[in-house]
Amino acid sequence: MRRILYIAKKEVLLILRDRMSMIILILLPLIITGILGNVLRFRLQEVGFAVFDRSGTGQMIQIISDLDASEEFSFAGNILSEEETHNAFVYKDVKFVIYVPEDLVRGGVVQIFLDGSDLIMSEAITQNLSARFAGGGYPFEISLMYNEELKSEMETLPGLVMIALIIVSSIMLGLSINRERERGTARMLMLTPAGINEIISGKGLAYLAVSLIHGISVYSLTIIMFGMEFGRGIFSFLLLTGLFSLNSMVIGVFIASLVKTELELLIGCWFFLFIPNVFFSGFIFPLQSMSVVIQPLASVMPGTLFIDSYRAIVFKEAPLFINITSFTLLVIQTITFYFVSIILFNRNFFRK
Amino acid sequence: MSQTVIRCVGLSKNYGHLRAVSDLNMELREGETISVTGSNGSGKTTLMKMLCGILTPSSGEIFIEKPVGNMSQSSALIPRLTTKENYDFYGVVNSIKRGERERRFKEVAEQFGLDRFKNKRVEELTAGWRQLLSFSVAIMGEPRVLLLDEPTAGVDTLTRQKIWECIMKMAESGCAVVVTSHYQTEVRLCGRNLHMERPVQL
Repeated sequence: MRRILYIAKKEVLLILRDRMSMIILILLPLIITGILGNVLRFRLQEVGFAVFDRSGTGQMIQIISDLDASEEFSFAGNILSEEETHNAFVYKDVKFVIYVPEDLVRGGVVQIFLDGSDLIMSEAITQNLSARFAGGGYPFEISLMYNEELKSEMETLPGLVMIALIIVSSIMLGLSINRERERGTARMLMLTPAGINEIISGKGLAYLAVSLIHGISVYSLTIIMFGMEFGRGIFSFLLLTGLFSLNSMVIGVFIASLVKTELELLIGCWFFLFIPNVFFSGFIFPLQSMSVVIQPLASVMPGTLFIDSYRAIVFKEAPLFINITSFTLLVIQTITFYFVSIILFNRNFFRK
Repeated sequence: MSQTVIRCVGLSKNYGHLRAVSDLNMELREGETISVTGSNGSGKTTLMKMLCGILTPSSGEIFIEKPVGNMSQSSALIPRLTTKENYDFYGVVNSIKRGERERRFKEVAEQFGLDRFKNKRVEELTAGWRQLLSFSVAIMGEPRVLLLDEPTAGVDTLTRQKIWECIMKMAESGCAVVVTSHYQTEVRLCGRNLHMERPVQL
């Protein structure tokens, strides 16, 4: 018994004296609780919708007003032709379009076109609208656009690609930098004419190439799985893959510049890169279901920007300029993190 | 008159309340060799790190002529690369052209017998061969100053002899050498000795 108590005492001392153990023991439960508290209460909020009313009778006005007045939905505008339906999904970020037929009064069926590229969201919308329309007395049908066969791969693929790119770009690059620091290679390199910029760029280039190979594989997979036409959006897709990889890399480098050991780096990547991007990017829980405090932050996270742009490019055939905001944000974040990392490297990393 | 290549004025380094290096003044000219001795924790490695610029002094100034060749206690070699790949890697980052690199590798390979390990990964080499390769990498840029932190630690007598022959040859050609060592035989080979005292509490 005495021995067990002594082993326990030694363990407590080790935990108290190890910064990382303290972080894991104290921060992890808080972070998990925070995440679950914020994203597990799935609720639709201000989901955009458009209306294509061919009946001209205005009979649906009450239902549409009710939808717009609700917290869940927000009226994004009217559509005047069938061609505009696709544009509404791509350009106005609407999640469903209500099509009111000419013969509504003679028993025509109201069509609801849902964006099927976001499966969790479309299922939640279906449930909500079914309840509302069933009470309204109009026959209705719900059809999915961009994922007619309800393929769940479509929902998970962007998120899985994001995770793979995070692992390849940030974690592997961060580990490589830290390993060289621990081994002493980094110090040796500092004495050569190659500056920090060259060292990081050279290392990053190798991982960027691996990421682009992953990007090409995923693109090919999308063609096979979803029958996507070859060449469609390939430039936008590779640009997005490259940009997101660069973004992940500099965040990995940033974390590497703050920590000392490989374990600290892995924990840092897990806490500040992996968990936020998996839980707050819309991969598992839709953004609209998150609290108003988290939503603005989640909407500019690299993972969110990647998944949104991926869905738009691959599933909705959106042109490059539609994602210009996401691309610009990724570029701004990349440049900012890069310069901050360089400053931190000069200050902390090589000169410790 | 030979030129001054290292000058330290009032050099100090503190770690919290501990002064590892205290008000050091030192000058070294071309072709001079100086050994740095002292017990473990006396600040030898701290001094070497400050000289090669990876540690900022708490006070004082350092002037050091470049290029500097450095060999630290922890091997800077990349374990999964071969002997030749390691040599080439450091050659490229030191901006040494291919032809010149090949010529220098041939020289050190003949001198140290590295040729037969050319295609062997560093992780497969013994400690002695690794030290020889590290030393070859340190001198590859034809430095004006050579900083060697215990270059012969853990190596056999023959390897030690090879390394010291090369150090003396470098010094004869005008390279200034600063070397830390625990061996009196090595200290005696150097023209001067700097003995570091134990760190003082501030």
